[in-house]
Amino acid sequence: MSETFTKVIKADKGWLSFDLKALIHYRDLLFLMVRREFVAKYKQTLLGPVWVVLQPSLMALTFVFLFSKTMKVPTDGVPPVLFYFSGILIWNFLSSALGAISVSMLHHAELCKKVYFPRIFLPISLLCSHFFSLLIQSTVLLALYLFFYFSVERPVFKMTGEIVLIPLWLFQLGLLSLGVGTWVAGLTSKYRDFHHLTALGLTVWMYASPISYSLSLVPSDWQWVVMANPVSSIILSFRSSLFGTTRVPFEMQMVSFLVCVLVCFSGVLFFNRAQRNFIDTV
Amino acid sequence: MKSLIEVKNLSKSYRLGQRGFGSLRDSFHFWWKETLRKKSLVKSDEVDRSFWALRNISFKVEPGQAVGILGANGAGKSTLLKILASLTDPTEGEALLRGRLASILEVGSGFHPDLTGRENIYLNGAFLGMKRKEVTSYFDAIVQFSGNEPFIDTPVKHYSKGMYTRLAFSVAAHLSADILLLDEVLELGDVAFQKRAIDKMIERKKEGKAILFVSHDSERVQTLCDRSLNLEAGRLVFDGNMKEGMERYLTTAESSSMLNS
Repeated sequence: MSETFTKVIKADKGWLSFDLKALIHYRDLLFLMVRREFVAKYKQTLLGPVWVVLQPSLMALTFVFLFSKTMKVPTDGVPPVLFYFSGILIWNFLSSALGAISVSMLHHAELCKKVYFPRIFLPISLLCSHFFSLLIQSTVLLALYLFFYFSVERPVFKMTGEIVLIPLWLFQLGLLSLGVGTWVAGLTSKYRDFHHLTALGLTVWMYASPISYSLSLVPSDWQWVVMANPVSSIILSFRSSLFGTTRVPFEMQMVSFLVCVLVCFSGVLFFNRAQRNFIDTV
Repeated sequence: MKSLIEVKNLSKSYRLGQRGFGSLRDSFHFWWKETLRKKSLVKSDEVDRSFWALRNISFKVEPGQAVGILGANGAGKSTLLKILASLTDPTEGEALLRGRLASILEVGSGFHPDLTGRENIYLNGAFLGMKRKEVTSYFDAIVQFSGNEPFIDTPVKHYSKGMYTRLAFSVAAHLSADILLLDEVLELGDVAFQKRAIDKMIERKKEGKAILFVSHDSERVQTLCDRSLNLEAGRLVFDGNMKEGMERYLTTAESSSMLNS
């Protein structure tokens, strides 16, 4: 008999109890859940994953027309299409991953009532499938990037060695999306009201993030408002690594990174707490 | 040999009445009432009452035992299985599980209609706690048991209801667990398949697994189980051999139906 599988089921286990053994045991499930997510989205669609690139591309073109051609907003010397597309890529990841994670528990309530598996896989699998979408979208960014870099006689932006830092910013983005997403998921599982707040919050958050404008356009007295937002430093660092624009000060980047780690850590713990007796309340 | 399941003084309570907690408004409402109550402005019967779905349940299950859980609707059968399956926490007491547990409270958990039979076997197996390698090693047996060989690479949305449940049950039937929790899942499929499902479970019992079985089909419970646990309003009122337990269950069921009519 396998003593390794001995398990004690008890009343309250406290905030920090996390079934790590189960995480390892169920690791094959995570991969299958990511796949299921992706298949569910694109099977029986005509264009399949093309939809993933269509949405940010159209949004970027709209921004070019609206902000660049109509309002003549400067973009730090970066070609407008690239400037907007890079910002939209980051923002879209955050808003769609966060949105999906925040309702993940409610959407899978029936499953949660019937079968045990590490519930944290619900948000994590969604995060993974969104990273996969981001990877597809990045090919468009890369194509545009190379096009502008090589076709224009004198490149309008610099390619620097800092380009290797991009995975770090994406990692930070993942932490933030998972963190805020799990917080909202935990709260929504208890209070349905939060579902409405999410949409509202995301809209406000989007305008508070430098997606359609550069930080240099914000009056210096007000720049702290933008920088207090952890997404800002991710977008700005992403752009500076790509185009060699002004860097985010190191201390600011560190603070923003720590905030993301904290949000992620606390969010996962809160989610873990909320899922425990979730099926009693749905 | 040690028992596979040891349940000690297990209790589960649910809140009833005022404490809704469905929305923020409810929470504020509750908090407000509590505040008023503390200042004794509102009568005390407006506070929340607890309802004990399970109260002080204790029992042990040895390897090779199949235990039928009998009781009327709302007696706590499903709650007991849910606690043992780690789907919800007990309020008091504890349960010790020695060995791998598989809970089959429904069949086809996680099935996706757009995935093929093959893909769903892997997915469902993983949800039930099987590793990829284990599913691969049982794969042929699962497919054969379901009788769906020609359609294994067809998306399950094209399956008939019977094919679907047969496939779903077959995955569960091949779980390599030491403890099996079954909640009314042997009633699926046609008569021939039900017979095979029961035979499969008897086979698992003989292999030394522990089985907890909830069903309203008295004949099926008696075929599979040799011991009975009777629950009445959340309390364990009988623990003994199946024949006596079933008699007791039928007597109480009859007397309560007489009262109702």
